[in-house]
Amino acid sequence: MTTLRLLCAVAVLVILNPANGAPADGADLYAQFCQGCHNNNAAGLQQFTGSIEEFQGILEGERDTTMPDFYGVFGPEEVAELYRYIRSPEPG
Amino acid sequence: MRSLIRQYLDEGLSRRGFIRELGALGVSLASAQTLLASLSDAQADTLSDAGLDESIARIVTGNGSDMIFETFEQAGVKYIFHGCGGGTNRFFDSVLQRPGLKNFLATNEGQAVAMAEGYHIASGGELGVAMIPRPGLMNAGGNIHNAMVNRSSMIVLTAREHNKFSNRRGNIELVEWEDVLDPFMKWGYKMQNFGRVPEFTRRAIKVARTPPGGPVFLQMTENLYQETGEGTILPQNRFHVAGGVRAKPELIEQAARMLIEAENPMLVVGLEVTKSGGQAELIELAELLAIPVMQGLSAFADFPSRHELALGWFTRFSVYMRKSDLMLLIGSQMPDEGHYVLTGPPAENTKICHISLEPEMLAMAWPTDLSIMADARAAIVDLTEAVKSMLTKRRITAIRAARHPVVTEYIQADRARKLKRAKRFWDRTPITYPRLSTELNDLLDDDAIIVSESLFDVAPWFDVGHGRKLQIGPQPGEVLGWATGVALGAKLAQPDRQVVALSGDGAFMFQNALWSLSRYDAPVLIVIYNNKAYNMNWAFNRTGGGAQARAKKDLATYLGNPDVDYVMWAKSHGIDGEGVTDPGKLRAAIKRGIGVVRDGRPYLLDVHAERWGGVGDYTWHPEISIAGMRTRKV
Repeated sequence: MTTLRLLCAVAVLVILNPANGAPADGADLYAQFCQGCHNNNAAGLQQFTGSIEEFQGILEGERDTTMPDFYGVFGPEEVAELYRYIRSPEPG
Repeated sequence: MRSLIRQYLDEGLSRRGFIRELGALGVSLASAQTLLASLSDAQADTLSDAGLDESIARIVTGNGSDMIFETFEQAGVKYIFHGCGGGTNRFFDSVLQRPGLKNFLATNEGQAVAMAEGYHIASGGELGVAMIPRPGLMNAGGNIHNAMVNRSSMIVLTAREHNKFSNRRGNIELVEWEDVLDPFMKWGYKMQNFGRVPEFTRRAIKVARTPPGGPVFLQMTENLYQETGEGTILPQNRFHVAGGVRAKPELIEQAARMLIEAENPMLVVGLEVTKSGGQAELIELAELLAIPVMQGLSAFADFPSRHELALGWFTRFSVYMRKSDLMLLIGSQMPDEGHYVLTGPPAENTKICHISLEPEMLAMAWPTDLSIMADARAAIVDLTEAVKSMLTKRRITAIRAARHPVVTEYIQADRARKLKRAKRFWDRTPITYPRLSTELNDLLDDDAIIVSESLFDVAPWFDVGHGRKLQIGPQPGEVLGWATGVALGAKLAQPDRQVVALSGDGAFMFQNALWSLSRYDAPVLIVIYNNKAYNMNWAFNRTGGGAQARAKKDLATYLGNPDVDYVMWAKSHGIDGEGVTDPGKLRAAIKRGIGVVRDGRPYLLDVHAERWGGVGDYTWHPEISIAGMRTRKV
């Protein structure tokens, strides 16, 4: 059973891991996934000053926020791209 | 589809043109001819009453109002929901003479429409009838819009002054009220000819019932009350339009091939599945190939929320959404970023096959690989059969065996993660939405009816769908002031099932059905998720940035001052209730509410609930006192 679970977990990662493809640009990712709530040019995220670990924690539902759960949606490079974009003084 | 039917009935489209248009939309010739035959029956019936088969015709004597209600009774209408009379007073003379009809007074016309819609939905498709004085149409407009979005079959009956006074732009006729609401109606007719009242009443019933349903206006002038004579009443079942429009087999085969060839297909389903009665068939299709299912924008749980293949509400914020190589939409609107509730757009590089009965919904704004106009249930059945005929049983088993563990493991883990996250705040005060919703779900009957207004984030915590609790709402039409009226109608339709009305405090203040719930002894449990705010607007205001967000001030959404005592409000209507602030006392309060409801009375729970969206501690609001603006104490 444990082996089966492990195989399933691997299969999920292989099939669903977005990092299989090339990471998208942070601005593109922001436009696709964040802009609907946080407005253009990351206007709604200006107050976020946390670390990339905190940022990832929020994305994956670990923090006490009610933002939609992005668990597993982004690969590590995409998280970094998004983080870079929203921390940019002049996004985009 | 509805615009084509409307064009045909209004004689703007010939028979040949009607068939040609349906063919262009992918409807098979046989289906188009069946539909046309049904419509033509209805058109031809009273072109001349002469020659009608006497065994089915019944001649009655009365005024125009009597003709309407005779026709309603013939169609099985038992209940009328209405506002305070006004121009429709004369209708009640006819109702009084027909003991088989019961009338329900709402203290706001919008609630009369909500009650009619709740009755229609919970009864499984019976016609809802709302009788609305014309100035009240504007009050009713919001819920007529909701009913249109839900494709609910109802007639909105109105009346106007005598023809000899028409169009003088008097105090209540600056405009033709019905014309203002025309975009919310499927069809409408202003009756002025006594001899044709039964005909147009029949037609209104038929158009409202024909899938996709929708509100239909029927208006009568005062002179038709005053005129009496004979009318011919015909059985409504002879004017039934068969649903089940099937797609061309080659289109179904194409869709089946896309489904078979996709590595990560997903289904996105919507209200046409429930409306067509295709929920069980949808489960069979999903299970056949272990395809995960997302719930599209809908007032129903078109796929069971706790099924092992249920991915929950459609969202772009999902691994599946991003990596799916085929999105097969059945009976659902295309997810769209233009929707108020964020549902779209679809992921790029995903093939899209879209099946809907409504051509207007197909290929609207997003490139679509295959659009099929068909009844949802018929398409699901045909698609299932096509897959079975194109693959060997062994191949089907192999596909399912490879995909099932991957999908179900993902879904189980996703649910477990969300529950774990919710449990972190389980005992928090104010009470969290997941805690309140989970406790309710546990304590309510398995077949309870849950009417929910604008609480888009509580649905995942309820066990709803085919064979489980019946979910009605949240209403995709988004106009507030809906749930308690709908709950009354639902209880009337299903008196032996538990009915619960859920709403936030902001939405509850738009509702106005307590008087009716009390007056008609409607044992409904009302639960207010009271977070003292128009929370959703506030949350999006904050997340979008801007001056208010930076200053942590919101000008428009705080409701905590005054802090309304909803229990007292309920008690003023003769409805008992209680407030709940302690999560540890929640279950006992819910049980007390269920007990009162079992004893035959409504009960209200005012639950002090969390504000979500990172605005929990915001209470700032503009301090404005009109009294303080006075220069003398008057």
